[in-house]
Amino acid sequence: MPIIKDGAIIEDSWTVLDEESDAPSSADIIIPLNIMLEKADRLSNHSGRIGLLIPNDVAVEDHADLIAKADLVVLELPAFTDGRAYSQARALREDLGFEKELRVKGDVLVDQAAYLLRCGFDSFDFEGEFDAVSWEKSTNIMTTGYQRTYRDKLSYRD
Amino acid sequence: MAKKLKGDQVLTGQLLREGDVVFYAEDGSWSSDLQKAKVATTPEQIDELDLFIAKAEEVNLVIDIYPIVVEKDEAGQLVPSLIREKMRTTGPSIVYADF
Amino acid sequence: MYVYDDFDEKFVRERAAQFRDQVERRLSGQLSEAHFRPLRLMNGVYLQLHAYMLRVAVPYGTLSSKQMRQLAMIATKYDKGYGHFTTRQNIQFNWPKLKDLPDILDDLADVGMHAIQTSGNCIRNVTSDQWAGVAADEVTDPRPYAELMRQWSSLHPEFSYLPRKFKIAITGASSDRAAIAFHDIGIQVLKNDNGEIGFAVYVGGGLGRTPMVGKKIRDFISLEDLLPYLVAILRAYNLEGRRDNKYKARIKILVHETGIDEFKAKVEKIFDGLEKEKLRAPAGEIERIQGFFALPDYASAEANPESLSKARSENPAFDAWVNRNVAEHKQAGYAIANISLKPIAGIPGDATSEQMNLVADLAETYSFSEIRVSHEQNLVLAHVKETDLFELWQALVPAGLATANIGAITDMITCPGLDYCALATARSIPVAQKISEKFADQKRQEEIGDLKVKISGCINACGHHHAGHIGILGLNKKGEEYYQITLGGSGDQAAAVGEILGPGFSGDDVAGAIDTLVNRYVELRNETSETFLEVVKRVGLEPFKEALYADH
Ligand code: HEM
Ligand code: SF4
Repeated sequence: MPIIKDGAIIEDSWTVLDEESDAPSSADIIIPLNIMLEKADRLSNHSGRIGLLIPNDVAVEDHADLIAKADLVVLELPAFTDGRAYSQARALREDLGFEKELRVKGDVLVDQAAYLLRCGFDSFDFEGEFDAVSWEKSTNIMTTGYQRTYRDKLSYRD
Repeated sequence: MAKKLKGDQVLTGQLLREGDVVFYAEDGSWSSDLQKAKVATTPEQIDELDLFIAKAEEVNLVIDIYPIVVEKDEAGQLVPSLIREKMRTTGPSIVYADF
Repeated sequence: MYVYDDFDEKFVRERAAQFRDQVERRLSGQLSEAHFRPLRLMNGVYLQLHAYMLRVAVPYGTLSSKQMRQLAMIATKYDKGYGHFTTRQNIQFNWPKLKDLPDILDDLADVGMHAIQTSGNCIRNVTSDQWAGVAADEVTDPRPYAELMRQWSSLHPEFSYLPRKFKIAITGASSDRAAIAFHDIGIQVLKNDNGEIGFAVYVGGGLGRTPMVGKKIRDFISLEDLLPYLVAILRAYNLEGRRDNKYKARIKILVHETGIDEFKAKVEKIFDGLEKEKLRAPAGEIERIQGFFALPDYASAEANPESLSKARSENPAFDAWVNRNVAEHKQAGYAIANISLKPIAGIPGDATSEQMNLVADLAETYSFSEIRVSHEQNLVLAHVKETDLFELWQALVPAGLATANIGAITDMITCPGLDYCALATARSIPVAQKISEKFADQKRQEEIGDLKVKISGCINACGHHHAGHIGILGLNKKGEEYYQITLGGSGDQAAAVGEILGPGFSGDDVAGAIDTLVNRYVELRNETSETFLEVVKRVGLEPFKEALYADH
């Protein structure tokens, strides 16, 4: 799966940790929230960066401490019509003040990218092929907006 | 998967560009005339029509394709069995824009 | 009324360009139907029984003459010469072609209109009282707040993939003409003891297959906190609303299953955690919007002019129209003139291009070029001098627009039903036409008095049948259309859901059944002023059941 950041495919340094395996202590690992909650001690001598994968039925405010320590948060879009991650993202960015990389994983459509960016996501792990031209077009076609959101590049009325 | 329909069947859909209702015709085209529709009567023919749906949608000319059950009236004309499909074939039952 | 500035204009132009690109990608096959569908819906484009359908937003039901003329142009150029005004104060075109839709959206943008969010699982067009700004019973004009919410909800990046559609209505008056209790969020504008504007907020109302009356979640939220509070409600809904079953996905189900107290606690918790400053309307924005809603420059006009009473006494048809269709205005010497789109045996809510153009002209001549669409599918000229009423009426008569039936039994709300709608189980329009014919006699209508009949062609309840004094729901039994009748519903400040009377009727028998019910009501009422609803409350359903089913 390609990872898209700033409109281009990038090399991904992160691997997802599953139940059993232990990643090398220097790797950048993404840990699902439930494993993190159960086995946080296993990570005490981990020297690589730690990312957190949060399912979309979790209230992010309830895990503010873990989130504050994470170097990456990954949220899920199991179907493009399931909009929960948009609210989680805004809560993370605007209310919890999370400043590190925020990634979305799943059924991302190019026509949704602009909204995802506005909600605070900056990288995309999506199924299917990446077409840089449509991506560029779809993320730039609207230059105006009525809602002020995190790190928004749109213009507003003033 | 939709429930299996009982009875003779034809495929219907709507033109992607225009929205008009059309039927899959004997000659392989899509026609606005139900009377030209290819009628499947045997279980094999019906399965064949069902299998054709996905292929037909890929062509990107007709959307929302599904089978409907038809009967023959006294004059030998095809008519849909369900009231919804009757309406869809004949257009609104009211006189519009005329008062 | 609100007029777009450069910013709003740029916004809708960009949106139209975006949709043009999406349509091109759809036609070329780059976008699949499954992916295109939600995108077209968020631009008001449905696929209906016979064709595509376009629903154009008329924000809180206010239109200028120029906009109305453009709608007429679109109906002529791209459709079959008519449009249908809906209960959500919008207009629908029944026959546009997908390939023309980008051009139609450009034509709409030319007059500051759009079809944004008239469908889809997003925040829909905000609706309001059709008499806003001029009603005699108003605390304050709700439209500036409706406009604020229109802007705030447009292409909202967080709330465009909600579990289900989301409808907001706002009223500023004590009589609720916007049916706020039947909306996902209903808002009532208030003034507190210090004279400050604020809002009572209701949540979880709705019709559809599980009708529910909204529950109050806040007695008073300040103007400053209105948008943050809406964010909190929508966020709670977006995160927790059911996504497993489309019929249980509306906020009413969430509120019902969670309980209003616990739901409120969730909303308040989110609200407390919000960084509110950025979510508020920018400084000066409300004042800027309010500037557009200043009342027009009323000339000093004579109240109860001699000429009016003379015309009324000489012309019984005009007198009947004034009685029924003209309402009291805040300003002495002015009146609110309602134009019925329910001609006897016509199609409720339809207007031809010619009629639209005529109404646009009449609004220009008599009503400051402003037109309202009511949720009862009629049009309103909100500022007519009493001395002009007779002339106005004379111009309406030849166009079939002078039916004197506002609020009467033939002023039915009717959804498109199986004549157009892909989801319908039965037709609605022909049933409405038969009832209308049955009660065509003006004298009889006046004897009956106010009575709201509402008809839906399926359980989705677009025709508000639950809220009808008499509600009619079209169903399908063994391949035949049949109609279930409910009594006692109400959509106003005493909101109530109607109760089913008994077995349904065939399409041919509905009008007769309504006739029987109405006759029974007339017999039962103690005095002519006792309304249908009051009688139903007093005597219950039994006497009506008896009348309907006794000899069956
Ligand atoms: C012709 C195409 C239409 C379609 C496909 C359609 C579809 C629907 C559906 C599926 C619902 C139920 C939603 C739910 O409860 O989740 C609904 C409700 C509703 N629709 Fe329509 N509708 C159509 C036309 C109209 C028209 C013409 C009006 C106005 C006259 C209208 C006004 C409403 C209203 C007021 C509701 C109830 C609102 C509620 O439950 O909160 N619809 N519609
Ligand atoms: S109530 Fe049913 S039939 Fe009527 S417009 Fe709504 S979905 Fe269609």
